[in-house]
Amino acid sequence: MSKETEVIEMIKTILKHQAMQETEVEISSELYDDGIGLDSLCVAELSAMLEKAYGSDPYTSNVMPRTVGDIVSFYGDA
Amino acid sequence: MIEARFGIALARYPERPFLLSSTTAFSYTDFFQYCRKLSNGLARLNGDRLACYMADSTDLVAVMLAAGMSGKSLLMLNRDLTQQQLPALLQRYNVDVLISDLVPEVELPVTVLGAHRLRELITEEPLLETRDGEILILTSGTTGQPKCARYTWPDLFAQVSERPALEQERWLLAYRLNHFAGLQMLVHVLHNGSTLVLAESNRVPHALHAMQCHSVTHVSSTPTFWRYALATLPESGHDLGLRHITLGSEPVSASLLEQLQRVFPRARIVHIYASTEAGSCVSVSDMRPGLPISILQRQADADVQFRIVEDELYIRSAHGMKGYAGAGEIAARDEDGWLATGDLVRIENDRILFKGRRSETINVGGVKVHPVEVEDVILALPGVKLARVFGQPNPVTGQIVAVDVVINIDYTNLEVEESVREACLALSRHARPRNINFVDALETNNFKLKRQ
Repeated sequence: MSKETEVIEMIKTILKHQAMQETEVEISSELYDDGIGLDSLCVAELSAMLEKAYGSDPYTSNVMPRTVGDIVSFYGDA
Repeated sequence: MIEARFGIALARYPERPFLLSSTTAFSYTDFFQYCRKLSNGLARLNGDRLACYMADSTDLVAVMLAAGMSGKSLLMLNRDLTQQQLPALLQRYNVDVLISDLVPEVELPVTVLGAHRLRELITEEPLLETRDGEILILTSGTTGQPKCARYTWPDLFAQVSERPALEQERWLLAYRLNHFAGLQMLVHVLHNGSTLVLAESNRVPHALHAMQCHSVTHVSSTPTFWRYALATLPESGHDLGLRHITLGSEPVSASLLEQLQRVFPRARIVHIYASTEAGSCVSVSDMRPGLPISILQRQADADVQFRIVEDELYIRSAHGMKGYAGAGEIAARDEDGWLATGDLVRIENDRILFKGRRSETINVGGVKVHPVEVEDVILALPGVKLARVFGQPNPVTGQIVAVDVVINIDYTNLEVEESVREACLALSRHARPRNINFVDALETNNFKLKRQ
């Protein structure tokens, strides 16, 4: 599974955990209010999931990703 | 006081067993004689303060009671402490002689007496005077550096209610003797002419084995102990004839009370609230979690009073510890004797319910979450054997709720994760676990879950 697919699956899992409306998640999707709609608690969970899966995450590294692609790029550049 | 309690027991039931273990059996008469002669020997040791670094055993029980009868104060050291930790503790609490069942591998600043040499101290020559020594108990330190509580034996006995010994009670020692609850167990047994049963070790299988072998009727232990035990016992068909179960040291959930009642239908089940500093405070037998709100109405002449200040439970106890033993260890008591317990509570209907320790509160984006409230939800699920909720640092919200879960072998991680997430939808969004870890075991300290 590619990193892009893994990250998208993580976001979908979080949406499911929060019983939030199912929405299309793509590499270009905006993460927050204008897009998928992740709030601070969802982002906190995403940060923990990324850290658990990859040993680091953009939020802990003071990088604020705007899109799904920004997260994937964070690992691509690392 | 110890001698007087033995005197009462000897007059009523001299041949009744006082102590049973896998290798020894002592009647009240035999054990008193041993302790009496040992106390004569201990009284002759240099200095006023002894310490013991011994595993739970008949020898340790003898040292505790004999030291008390000899007038020496005795510091109880947990055998889980490493030898490297001993010098600082011995110095901090001004110990003169250490009694140890291990040969020290580090240099110690005190005289060391091997436990195997205790019998060499025994002498018939009586003491010139009889007085009670103090006993010093280290707090569990599950949330930080332990402190050392000083108790007198009369205060310990004053906390125990006398029960009509119509039928002989056999109590399993399911706490360590260096723990306040273990010490209370010993005092309770001696006070009521009961029998104390020692298991081969503090492991749950050994405890269950000792219950069977010695026909144990009464057990006092933690909810964590019972969660381990119930995971290995069948709901029916076991041959434990328990008549009484006391739960203590941790909050008790409704699901555990129900499960214990199903597995032990003939047992009276109570839970107690006690602390190393305040001693035994209240016993609850109505099969509901939490404490009855009526305890807040107790008058000033009651042995133990309760009040709630800013969600924290405060206690004033007539027979609690005398104080802490170490320099700089400040009791959290105010000038009127009220002790801040560190336990956060809320009142719901007619009940005082525990939310968790003040020091364990999780701050999720400015919203306070109490681990016990989350654990109660998770522990009620069928596939969950043990759970420990804690705050995990998070760059977005400061902390998130995380949980380590031990599952029952009949379930898969995936099944349990789904049921945990579904059950936690009943909690506020901040309180829902964001990280669920599956682990083989959780670290405990004297069968209390160890908190980070």
